[in-house]
Amino acid sequence: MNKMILVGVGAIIVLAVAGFILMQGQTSSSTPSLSTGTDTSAAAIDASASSFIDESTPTADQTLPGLS
Amino acid sequence: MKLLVVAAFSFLLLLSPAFALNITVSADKAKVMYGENFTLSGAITYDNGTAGQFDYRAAVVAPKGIIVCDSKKTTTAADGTFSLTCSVPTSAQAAALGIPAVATRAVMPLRAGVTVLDPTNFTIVKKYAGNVLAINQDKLKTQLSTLANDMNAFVGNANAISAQCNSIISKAQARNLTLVANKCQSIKDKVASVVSSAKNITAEAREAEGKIGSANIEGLRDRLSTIRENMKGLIEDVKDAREEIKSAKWEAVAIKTSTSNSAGRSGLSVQTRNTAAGD
Repeated sequence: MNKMILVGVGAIIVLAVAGFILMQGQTSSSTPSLSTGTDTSAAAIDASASSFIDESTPTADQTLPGLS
Repeated sequence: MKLLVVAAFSFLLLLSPAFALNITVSADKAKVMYGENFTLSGAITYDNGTAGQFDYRAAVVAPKGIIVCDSKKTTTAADGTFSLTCSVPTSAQAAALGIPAVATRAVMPLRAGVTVLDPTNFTIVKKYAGNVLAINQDKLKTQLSTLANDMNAFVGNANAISAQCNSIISKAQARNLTLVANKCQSIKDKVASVVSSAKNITAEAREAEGKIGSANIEGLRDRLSTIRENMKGLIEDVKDAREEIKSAKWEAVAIKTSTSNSAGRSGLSVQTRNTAAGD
């Protein structure tokens, strides 16, 4: 008899946990998201543009020498 | 006495324009390949047009203040003209001179000009020609190709995020999440503008790859500066929208909608699935 009660309680717990997991899954699948591809490719462009801009811009120390 | 001082000042003011120098200097090329030559030339006269012979030093200066071409101190022709033929260093020569990042850089800006001694007051006058861009052709082609590919990838990803925003906007509107909908709409607007610039830059970079000699590298640099700032703004907006999407109560609002229809828990599942079906 006791064994039957234990099995019943166990089954209820398993069902409750399964239900909870299922609910969590539904919650997350219903929350939309924005992909991260744009961040990655913008970062790549930022890096290459930065070196291109730095390379082609004269630096402040590029000044003409004096006469001597 | 006061009158004497005023008279002396007036006299100096009258004379000063005649003491100034008129210096013209220019380079015959705005772009030059590593190892090639360009010529810096010009003329020096007194400001009133009188010709003269002047002490001068023409030079071409690379990053870190390294002088790559130098006439040293010399004298102009009798009519004040001068010229300097500059041989742009090769990669190996530039590295030996100590110019920074020669191994990786595709372009090297050079500042050319002339330093002149004004004989009337013994002051030094410096006059710059426009910048000359020295180009490492192979490296620049690779850099432009990488840039065009990165831009292409960005366009694809930005269009994808715009499509995701379409779906998010309709979901958010169904749940009265106005802030999320507005933020996504703002992203869509920015994407449209940045994607248009990115496509233009991609086309420009591809074209420049094929004709390095006539490519407008400085123009491309300016457009890259602008798009870089706009992209930063877009990425900030996307981050902001992500936070808003994450903190919005999507499920709670859906429960409220469902219970108002007296559909209970099962109604929530149907509601959520129906809304998500458009994803």
